[in-house]
Amino acid sequence: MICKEIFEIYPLNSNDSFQTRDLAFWFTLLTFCIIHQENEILATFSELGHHLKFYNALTHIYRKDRLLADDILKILNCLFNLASNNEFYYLLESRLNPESTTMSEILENLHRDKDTFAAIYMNVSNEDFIYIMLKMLFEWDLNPEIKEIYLEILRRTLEESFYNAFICSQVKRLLRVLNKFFIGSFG
Amino acid sequence: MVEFLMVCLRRERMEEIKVRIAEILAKIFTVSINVSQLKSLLRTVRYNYHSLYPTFFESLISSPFRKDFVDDMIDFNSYSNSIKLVFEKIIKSVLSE
Repeated sequence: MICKEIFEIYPLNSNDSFQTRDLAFWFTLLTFCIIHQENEILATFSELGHHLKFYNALTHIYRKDRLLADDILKILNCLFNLASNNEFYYLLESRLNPESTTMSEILENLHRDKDTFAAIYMNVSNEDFIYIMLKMLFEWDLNPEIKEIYLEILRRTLEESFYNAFICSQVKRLLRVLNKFFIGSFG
Repeated sequence: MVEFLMVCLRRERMEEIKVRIAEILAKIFTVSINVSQLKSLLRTVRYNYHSLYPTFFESLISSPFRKDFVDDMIDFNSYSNSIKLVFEKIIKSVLSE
């Protein structure tokens, strides 16, 4: 119901809906809070394709009111936390402290093994948010430093974990076709 | 996600980022490679992927960004670097495992 309220009833296409940059972050944070509190929603969220609606809403804000690098970093961190069930915060985000350091400093820290060694212990539990993150990085064609930071974290996460690599390799085409059929027929 | 990453590899112009994407893809393929992933790999190495497989391309890339993607994907230098990475890095590392 909450998902439906946010992603279907809320007028995402209206021009007056999203005007400020802050709203993109608060929108992401609200989604994070809802999903973090109620893990059962996650299955519905992914299966009904709400993650793409969520991405489209963010894209709408991005195209209307160009987001700053800081806002994008906050959103990407939030998405990484959603994908890893908050492990990203405890293993990396709190150590790197992106709010008080510049992007080049974060990159330098990332290249030092001791700071990012913990990334290999992060479990990717929901690859849909990784997909949204990748879509943001490449479709919005973000700053190369931002791309490099998040790709490096993702690479390290996948490097030593078969489980993470396996989760990211899942093909859900059949599920999507079935969803489209059932939603088209009954919903 | 694999096919999207392959399209991103084709689109990206910076060499460092291309290498990162290729490393991520190699890890994913090393753990699990199935028929649909192999097919998506072969589809995306085609030079005119966007016109040969328009439905796949449209399902991966949102409409406002498609033109930019196509413009970057058909750049010949970017294409040749991507193919080099696919065969030298991804396929080689998957087969060596």
